[in-house]
Amino acid sequence: MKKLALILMIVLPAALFAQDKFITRNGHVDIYSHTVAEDIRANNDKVTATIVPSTGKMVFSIPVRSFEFPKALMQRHFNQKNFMSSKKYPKIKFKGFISNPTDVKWDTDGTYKVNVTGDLTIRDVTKKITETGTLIITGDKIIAHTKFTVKMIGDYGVGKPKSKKKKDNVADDIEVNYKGIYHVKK
Amino acid sequence: MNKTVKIGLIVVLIGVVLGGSYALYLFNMPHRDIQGEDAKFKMEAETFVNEFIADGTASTTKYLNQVVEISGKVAEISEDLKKQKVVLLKTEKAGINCTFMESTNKSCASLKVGDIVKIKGVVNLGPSYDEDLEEAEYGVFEKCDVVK
Repeated sequence: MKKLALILMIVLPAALFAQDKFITRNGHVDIYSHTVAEDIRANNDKVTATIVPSTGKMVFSIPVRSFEFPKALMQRHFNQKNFMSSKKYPKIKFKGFISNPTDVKWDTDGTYKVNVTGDLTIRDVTKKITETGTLIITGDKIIAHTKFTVKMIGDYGVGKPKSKKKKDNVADDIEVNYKGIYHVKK
Repeated sequence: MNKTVKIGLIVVLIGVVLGGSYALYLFNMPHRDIQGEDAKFKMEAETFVNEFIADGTASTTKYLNQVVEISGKVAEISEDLKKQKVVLLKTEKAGINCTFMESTNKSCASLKVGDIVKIKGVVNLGPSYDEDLEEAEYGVFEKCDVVK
């Protein structure tokens, strides 16, 4: 019995950590689109995201209306029907799994490169993407970083302006930069 | 130059000036002043969350982008990566995360967990149970301030 208790004492903390779920409700994402006509940047600090170490599952939920643009007019256009249609589609979603989970030592502080494959859903259109990111494990929190490009944003139904003149105001590819500080879900 | 041409030119000129000014106004249009607007709805956090849980689509149409005054119990006070204060009003089924601004952060100084508070802000996302997160996703209120 004593032996069992001893084994449990050694094994349990790591096992508990592996079963925990980590969450942030204030993740940051910024997007950048460059064309000859204009550069568009926007920031969003209201991302809810989770990491489950035991399965490698990562989910991001981004409220579309929380994107803030330097110009109010750009913000208005972004939310309109032909663009993000935020009343109909209030969230952007990513759901995926770490494809190299054994590279991450969840119970050891450190910086780990991860590959994540999953489904990105914008305006109810879902596409498979694979991106790389970094997980920094430090004490009881995880800091996640990623920088990638969403290719051919028009394929998600994000409307390009119909008039030929304005068509080139929005780039095909959107640069995305993400940072989130996750804590153990209580 | 005859009279008709003169009048025509003046009309065109006025049109150009008005059109140009409107375009300039739109381009430099200021951001919405949420705290300067009256709340369209005033309610308890519990009622707000329950309405969304019962019918998310209808509630989104009703409340998204509206200024709402919400009252509830402070469960947590934190800060986001932009250094904005975030006050969580927890409810039975989810919660509402109220994010303040640089100009209103100071209103949180006297708040503490357990206080009953009234907060006004704009609704950027309704609360729900999210099947992908396998988690209650909290409502997102932004540009908040405490209502005295």
